[in-house]
Amino acid sequence: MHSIARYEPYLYLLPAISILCVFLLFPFAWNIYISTHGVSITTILKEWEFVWLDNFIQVLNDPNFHTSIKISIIFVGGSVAFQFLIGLVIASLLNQNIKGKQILIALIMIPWITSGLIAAFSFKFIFDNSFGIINYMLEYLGFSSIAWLSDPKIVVWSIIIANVWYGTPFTILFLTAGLLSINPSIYESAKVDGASKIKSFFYLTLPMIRSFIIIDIILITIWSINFFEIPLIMTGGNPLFASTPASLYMYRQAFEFGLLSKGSASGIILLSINIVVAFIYIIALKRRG
Amino acid sequence: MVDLKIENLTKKYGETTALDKFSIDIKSGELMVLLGPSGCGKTTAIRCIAGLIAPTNGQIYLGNKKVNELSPKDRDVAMVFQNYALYPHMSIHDNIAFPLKMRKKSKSDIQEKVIKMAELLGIRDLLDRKPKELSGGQMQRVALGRALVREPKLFLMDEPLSNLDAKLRTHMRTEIKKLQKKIGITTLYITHDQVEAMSMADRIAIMKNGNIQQIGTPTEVYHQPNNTFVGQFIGNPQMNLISGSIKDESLFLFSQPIIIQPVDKTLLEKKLTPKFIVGIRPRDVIIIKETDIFTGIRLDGTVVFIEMLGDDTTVEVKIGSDSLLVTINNILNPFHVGDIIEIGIEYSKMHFFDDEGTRID
Repeated sequence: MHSIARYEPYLYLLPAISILCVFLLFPFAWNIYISTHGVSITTILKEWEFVWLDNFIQVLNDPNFHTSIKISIIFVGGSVAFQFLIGLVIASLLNQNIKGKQILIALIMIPWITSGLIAAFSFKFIFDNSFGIINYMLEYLGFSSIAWLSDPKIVVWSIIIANVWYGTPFTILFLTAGLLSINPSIYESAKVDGASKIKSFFYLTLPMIRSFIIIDIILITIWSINFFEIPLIMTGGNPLFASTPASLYMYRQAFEFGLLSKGSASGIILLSINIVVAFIYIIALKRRG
Repeated sequence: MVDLKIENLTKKYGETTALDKFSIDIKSGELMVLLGPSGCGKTTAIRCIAGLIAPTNGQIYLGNKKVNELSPKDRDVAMVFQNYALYPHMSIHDNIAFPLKMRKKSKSDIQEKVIKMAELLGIRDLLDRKPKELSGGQMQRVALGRALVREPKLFLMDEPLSNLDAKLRTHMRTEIKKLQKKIGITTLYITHDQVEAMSMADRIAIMKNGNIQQIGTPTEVYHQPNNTFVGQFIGNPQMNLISGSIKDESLFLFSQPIIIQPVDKTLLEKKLTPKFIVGIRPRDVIIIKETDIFTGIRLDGTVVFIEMLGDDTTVEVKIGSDSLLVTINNILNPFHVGDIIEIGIEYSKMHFFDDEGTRID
């Protein structure tokens, strides 16, 4: 009886821990196992040869992987910068006393509640070279149409635009919460103290929502690093690897080219990048508390 | 230092009038207290003066200059808010320095003024801390410092003591009053606490429903209230109001009338309306002992409630269907509930109001 009572708390944790093991820890271990063996779709039924870190070396030496890291940097950098700046501007505007504020907030949230797949398909049609609405408008206004999804230099910006449309509402919501946490009499006090609206924004608003800004930027960074539905649906990563960020590189290696081990290895590399960002997140949170 | 003159200030929110033809003159260096219950328009008035909201009508003059159209920062007015509104991410030093920084003063000038102000308020050793590390009283001082550091023409305070505990409040009100006299700044102070108003004010303006009821020194508003509202708002426990009338040289008091005969001659000289209201402060009612000689009005009543307040005791005495509050010095519990006692009211202590509540002299 006594010993049962001692283990009782662990008993309650068992369901949660077992779900965690089946769906998180096991696939992770399995992924490491595959990444250190030579497995492809054609050799999957044969014996799996242990190859040490061969797959990692292959990935790190793959010029396409280098391209995908470059694309990732542009994609994540562009997405985060625009999501944050547009989000901050809209959140600040929504924080003013304007009519129909509630309805506006509801409308602005629409992209965020849409599935990423639907967003990706919508933008695929919007940017379509021959029957997309954007090129139609451009031609109507007398400009030449742009190869949004097939020009290797432009395609990355097309997926950034789609991701910004899809992801910005989160920043708006998050920063609005931050702005609401500020006591309004602080602004009145600043007004009497002689601060203009712009000065109050830079001297008071921004520093007071600093922790919200840090958390927001870290979250949208992690999400953008891992997000691959939009490029997958819109371009499939094409032309060549011009719209393949590292997350999609991993997916393409494993499921498009059937190189399961190489895909797993790039997955682990991506995981390490995530862990680094998560560490920054934890440190930032600790500094705040 | 300048004086503040406000003429017919009116503020309407849609159909409701928050402030109705509010006019007041505050002399240079004076501490004027705006006193009234919540929702009486006092905060609206102070916010119009600060420039945080635009009045519907009326003029505000600071010195000889009309400031209606000026933005808050150009009015040279400082304000302390109820919740202090300190900037939480800045040190105390930066909080106090903020108004100077916004006015682009030189660094050495800012440094000098902040230190001087901190010393005046006794917060010199707190300058490196953040607001959340401070106690309520300390935050209050910082808010005062931030408001006064740029030497404004007018100082506005919106219930600055209401977030403090009772003991600290008593202490801070003396301190604010002393500070105000030392600097000599024209001040408008808002409160709903009549004790705060009485103890701090040079003059008090009592407000109700967006209108000023009376402006006067604490002594004036206490001893000569303009109407029953002022009479009851000032003083604790509040003034007793008794219905009265005079007929054939007899005075009838209370709703189940008690006839007083003969009535004092001074009463007949007053221009009393057929029906009127008599106001008597609980402290002015006397308990008569058998041996006392008393020439005023004598009444018998039953003790129905005794409230012990430390220095004083408040006794509720039932006379007919009315009850009268009586404050006595705290002699060792002389009564019990149910005792019948004789009370006395002197004619000279009675206030008379017409049946609409306006004072009759």
